[in-house]
Amino acid sequence: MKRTPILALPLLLALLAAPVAAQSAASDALRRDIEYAKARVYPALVNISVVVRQYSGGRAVRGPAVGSGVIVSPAGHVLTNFHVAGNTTRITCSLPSGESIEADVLCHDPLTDLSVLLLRMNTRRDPTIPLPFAALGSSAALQVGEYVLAMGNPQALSSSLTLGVVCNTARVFTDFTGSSIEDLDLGGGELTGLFTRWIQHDALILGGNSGGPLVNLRGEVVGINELGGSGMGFAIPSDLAASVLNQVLTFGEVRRGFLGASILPVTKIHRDEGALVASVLPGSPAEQAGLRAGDVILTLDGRPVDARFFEEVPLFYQRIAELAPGRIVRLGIERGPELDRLELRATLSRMERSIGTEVEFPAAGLTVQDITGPMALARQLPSTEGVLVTGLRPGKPFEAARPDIQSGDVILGLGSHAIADAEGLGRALEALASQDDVLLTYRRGEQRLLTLVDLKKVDPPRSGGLLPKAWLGVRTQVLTADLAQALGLAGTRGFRVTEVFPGTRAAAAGLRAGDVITSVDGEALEASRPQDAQELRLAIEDLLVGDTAELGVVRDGTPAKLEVELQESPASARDVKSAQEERFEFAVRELTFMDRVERRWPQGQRGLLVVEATMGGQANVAGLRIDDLLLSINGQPVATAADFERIMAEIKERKPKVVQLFVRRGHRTHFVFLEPDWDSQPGAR
Amino acid sequence: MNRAARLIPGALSLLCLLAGPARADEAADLRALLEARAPAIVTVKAVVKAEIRMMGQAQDEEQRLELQGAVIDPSGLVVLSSSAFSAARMQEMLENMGAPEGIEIDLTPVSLEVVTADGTQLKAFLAATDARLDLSFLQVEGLGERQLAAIDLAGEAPEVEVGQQVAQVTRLGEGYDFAPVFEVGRVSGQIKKPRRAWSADGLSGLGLPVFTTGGQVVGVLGTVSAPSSGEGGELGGLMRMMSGGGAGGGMRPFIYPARVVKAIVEQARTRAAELLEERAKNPPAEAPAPEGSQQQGEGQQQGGEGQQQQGGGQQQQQGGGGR
Repeated sequence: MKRTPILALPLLLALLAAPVAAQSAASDALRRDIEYAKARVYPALVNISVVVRQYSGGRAVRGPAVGSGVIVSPAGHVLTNFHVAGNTTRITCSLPSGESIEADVLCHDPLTDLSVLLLRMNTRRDPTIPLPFAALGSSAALQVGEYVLAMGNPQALSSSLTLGVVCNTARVFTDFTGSSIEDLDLGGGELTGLFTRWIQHDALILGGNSGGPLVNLRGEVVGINELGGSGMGFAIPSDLAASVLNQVLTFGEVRRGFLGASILPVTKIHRDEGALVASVLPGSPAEQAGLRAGDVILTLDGRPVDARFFEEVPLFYQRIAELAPGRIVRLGIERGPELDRLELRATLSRMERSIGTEVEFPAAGLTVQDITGPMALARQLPSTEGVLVTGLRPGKPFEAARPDIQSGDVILGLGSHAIADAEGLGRALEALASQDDVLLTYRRGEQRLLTLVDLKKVDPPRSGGLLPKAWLGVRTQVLTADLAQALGLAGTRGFRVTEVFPGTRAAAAGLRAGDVITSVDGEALEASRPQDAQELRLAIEDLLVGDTAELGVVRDGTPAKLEVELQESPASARDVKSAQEERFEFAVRELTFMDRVERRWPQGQRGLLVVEATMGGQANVAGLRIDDLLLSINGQPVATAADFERIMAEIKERKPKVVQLFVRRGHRTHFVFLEPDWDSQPGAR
Repeated sequence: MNRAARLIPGALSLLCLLAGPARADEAADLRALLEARAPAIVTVKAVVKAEIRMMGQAQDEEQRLELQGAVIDPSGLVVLSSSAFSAARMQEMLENMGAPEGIEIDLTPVSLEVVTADGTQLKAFLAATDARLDLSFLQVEGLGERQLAAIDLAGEAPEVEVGQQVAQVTRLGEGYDFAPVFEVGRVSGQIKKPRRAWSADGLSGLGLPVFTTGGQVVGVLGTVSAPSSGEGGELGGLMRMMSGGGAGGGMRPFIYPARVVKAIVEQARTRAAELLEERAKNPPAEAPAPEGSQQQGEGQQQGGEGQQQQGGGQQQQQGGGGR
């Protein structure tokens, strides 16, 4: 956006009096308009941070993501993109005022990439403060060249505002050859954009602006920003958003009529009116009405249909979508080389989502999708019965079944249960849990296959750790020939002690850093080069735990003998007790001797080491990291797994608003604040 | 080689070139080796979870692996290379390739199944790992009274000699129905540092026993980690790896003589027996329960087992003192 640079103003003033005066007046007016528009919308802008679920490899992995939204009603309704709020487990909206409120999803509409959320108004810290909200304006009234503001959170920087102009009010995306509208895929086959003619503008938007409002200088929301890049932005028109919002407020969902015909503009067949039917979906109302590819639709319920350009195609689909499912429509068509006029009657069905909801069954190690009508058509399935397998987790029951199951298979039956949808599969899995050899019926292409699944739950075996070895408890370096020379020990071979671990038998026996070990049980050590580094350790490991080793030592130039009882090598991480916290999804374990040594903590250092903080889980999202040393929970110090379990059990009884974890991270300490959502299921996926 | 010995020594070498009785004997020896030892060579079907930790976050993924192991005790103790469960080598390689500081990898077996020669699949658990020799020991469960064909590593073993011909028995993958095959190689050299071992050319069965062509056990094939020569950044590590001098030569196979392995086997056998007893007293939870609480049960189970583990360790120490 070009504005007259302030520096150049004095120069221009000298040359052009009147035009400059007009220009600076224009700048002032613009600034005032921006202020006005900002004041009306900016306070209602929300930064939306979510925990989003991504399905891959048979599991749902969660992670944080950020987008934008705008509050559109005093009751707390929020508009944003489906690709921000879809597939999430937690949604938190933050206002520019600093207030943070959790939100729930009222309705998703992937076909327009919009989601309507509702803020949990009863959780506001101060409910007496009125909730700011913005008004939706008319996107149809937008003019190319008009100023617009994009508000949102680009790159997760909260609450920003950019200025641009409207470049195009009816943008559609065609393929490379410009001969068909390109299907916009939100991922995994979720198609969108069928009804959308985007508002293209050049107010800079970046990742994070998704779902944020596009605002005109009257302070009305005229679009919801959806796509951007290379200096261009695309927003969903507010008229479309308003129709979705109204449907959600009225019906709780979006109901669209569906005909089942896809159309092309009529320019190539040299016509000025009508729409060319390119495809009639099998089994659709259009097919049942007798519509055929090649027909030209001239009227819909008596009113003319026009699709001269691709920009007019979404308008046709919108007209159909606005009609209720079940409604009978009259299609006036022209057919054949004779241009026969016919009137067909079609009963609209209900428009379905392109893909079904994806669900994870963790114990079974399976992710599946419900099958929608469009999916059944695309995959040539006889019906929408069954669930589509989208991923299998190695080692878990479904992946382990032989003959094998693959992604893309459709599960039809489990045991005696016929599976119609994901919910049905969930019920069947619960009923059959702990049974082995359950019969599974599934379809692959045209084949109906059978296999057996073992649903017995078996805990992963706790592995035995490392075999203990005789251990001295010191760190050493090879006494190289040069080093020996420098220390006045020419000709001496062996190992120079660099560190004696505290609390070991070696320490008790008086071994010190600086001592040079030259023999073990009378056998001289030969080490004098770096590759000899293992010699001492191997010599000790040849002995047994409990044996007393006689070490030949040179201390300050004087040879001496030291007897050290060999203790067992210290317990490894796998040998100590650990504890899992299900609700907040993190795990800790007790400290080992070597943990303290390696991190140079005093031997008396207490605490539990964080070994797991599942991505997207409450602890991870609150900022707990692996390798943090948990020192206390809500002020109570922890040292053992038992402490941890006891304290967490108490907390789950009392259900405080905040759980305060005090940790050591490197050389600093840190507080991690968990704000539990006590209403949701433990470890809510 | 009997008939050949009667002829003139000078002509010996000539005879060796002809497809004579010496060759036929060798083939017969190898056939006998294969037949005798194949029953104790098993396939281990493992699902291993790899966890990559970086900057306080972790991502994990499971993978199915088919590994080779050898039964070394009729009660079902199986030895195999721990490289599939030990992230140490992988981390070494990553560090040599100049990976940023603070990446840690952890490999844990999630499920283990041993497929015996006759095709039976038996559940197993990881009983112990020896960090020095990079060998892991699995204990098969549910054998009951049944005994498995085993290779005795504790018996008298002939010394390894440079130049000697050695052999191993391994199995092909599931697609080939785990068909047993032998591999023949030669002892190509000896190392004394960082430890004593013999370089074996042509053998690839890490973790598996090595035999003379006559069928006697001489040791186990493993890897020896040597300290790599220096620092240097990404390029240095890569250059070292490509010139063959890097990654500590980590993947070159060496023969650990049987006597070195014997002591470890004893320790592993004891540990496996202990764990088997523990698991008999605390069988893993099989009861059905709704998803949420099932996971709770898991956590508690691990806590209980851990306690017993601690006790086991102490016993070991006392036992050692007695010795």
